[in-house]
Amino acid sequence: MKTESSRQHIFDGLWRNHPVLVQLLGLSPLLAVTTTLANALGLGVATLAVLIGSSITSSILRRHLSETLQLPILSLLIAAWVTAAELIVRAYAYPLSQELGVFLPLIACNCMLLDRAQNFAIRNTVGRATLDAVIVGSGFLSLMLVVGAIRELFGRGTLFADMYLIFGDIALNWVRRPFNGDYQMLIASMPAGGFLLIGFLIAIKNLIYNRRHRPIDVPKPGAKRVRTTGKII
Amino acid sequence: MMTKTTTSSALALTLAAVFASLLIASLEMLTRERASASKAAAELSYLGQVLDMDNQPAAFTFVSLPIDNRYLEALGLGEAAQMHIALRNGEPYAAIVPSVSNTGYGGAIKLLVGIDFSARITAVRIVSHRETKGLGDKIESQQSDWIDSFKRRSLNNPKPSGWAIKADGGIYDQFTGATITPRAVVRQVAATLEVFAAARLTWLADSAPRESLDVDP
Repeated sequence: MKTESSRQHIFDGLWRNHPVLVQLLGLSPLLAVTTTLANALGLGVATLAVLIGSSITSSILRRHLSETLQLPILSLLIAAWVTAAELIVRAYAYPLSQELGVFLPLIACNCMLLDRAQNFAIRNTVGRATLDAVIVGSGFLSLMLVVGAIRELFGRGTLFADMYLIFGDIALNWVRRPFNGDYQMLIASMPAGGFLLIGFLIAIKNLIYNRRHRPIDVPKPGAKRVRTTGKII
Repeated sequence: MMTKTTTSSALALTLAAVFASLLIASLEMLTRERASASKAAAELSYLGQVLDMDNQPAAFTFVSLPIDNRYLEALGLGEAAQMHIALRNGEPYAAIVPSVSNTGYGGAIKLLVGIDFSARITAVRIVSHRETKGLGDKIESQQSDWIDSFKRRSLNNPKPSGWAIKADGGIYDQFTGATITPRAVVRQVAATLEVFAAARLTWLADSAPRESLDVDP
């Protein structure tokens, strides 16, 4: 029984209720830093780690959270984990922290974190909250990687450039240039290109999903959450 | 019941606050040394990018000096800043001067200019800019080798009239669709060389006494 529900949970987090593709959460870091695969990996992993930390701590405190104090306490926990992540990145990957700039501390403003803490972690055991954080965070990270790879490939004509920011000098030779000559498609590196790409990815996801399952219900007029691309199940 | 909820909430807030403080404080202590080492290494490679190190980075040490107030305006620096003297085997080798052009197309263009003590440029690098992508960003060393056209130049090479882009009768290339950006950079590099000419002896003198300190391992 438990494995069945875990499997369902994984399917939801990585695909059916994907935090970005369906719920459109965390769009601003997604679009701002995914100009290269290295940046996407850095911010994606940091977000995943922060999400795990905040979900665990939120779940531990779940019995003591009254309605009024829920938001400040969860925000405090998220902010603490983000600061921790920032300290670690600064110590062990200083050039990456310079590259990510303000978007590293801004992880605290990623709605996905508050959403998972408020709508899942504080209603479930620590184990399930951790599992949820890993799944949803991986869903976010994997989309970051896809977007980062596509934008780097089309925008700069490279793959794995700048990986030395994360892995140090051994990664200096990892850069690949699949195209001949000096290839650049400017719009892919700009936010407009990021938006277009996300739009296409959402369309592709819905196309595949609707083919395998019954069509996604369109949100009813007046529904509470309108910023979604499908029904959050 | 009311008091129970209140106590419970207070407990949760206290726990969260204590946990947050402990987490951040302990991590800060644990990573402090490593963070400052990483920062120093990043600064070394940052300063090293305007030097020709002959693959001997170990031979170089750096001394940082405050920039005299009277030079700040010419360097485009709004507030007090530091310049750096690179010492090769303990001998003053080059000055590394931050410089900002405010005549670019998209705001401040921050430069780092390396000038050796025979007054020739070792290299110029763009630290940050907001020029138009695809046009003005060719000033970046990653985008084109234009910035290397300053290498080994000095105030008399080319002659002062040559310190301009070709559209203005100088020797430096402009880019198709972007003349404002390279013009701003060329002018600011020339201005930096003038500051160097004025401050050279002071900087040489100020960098000397520290040599004995650098020998001490």
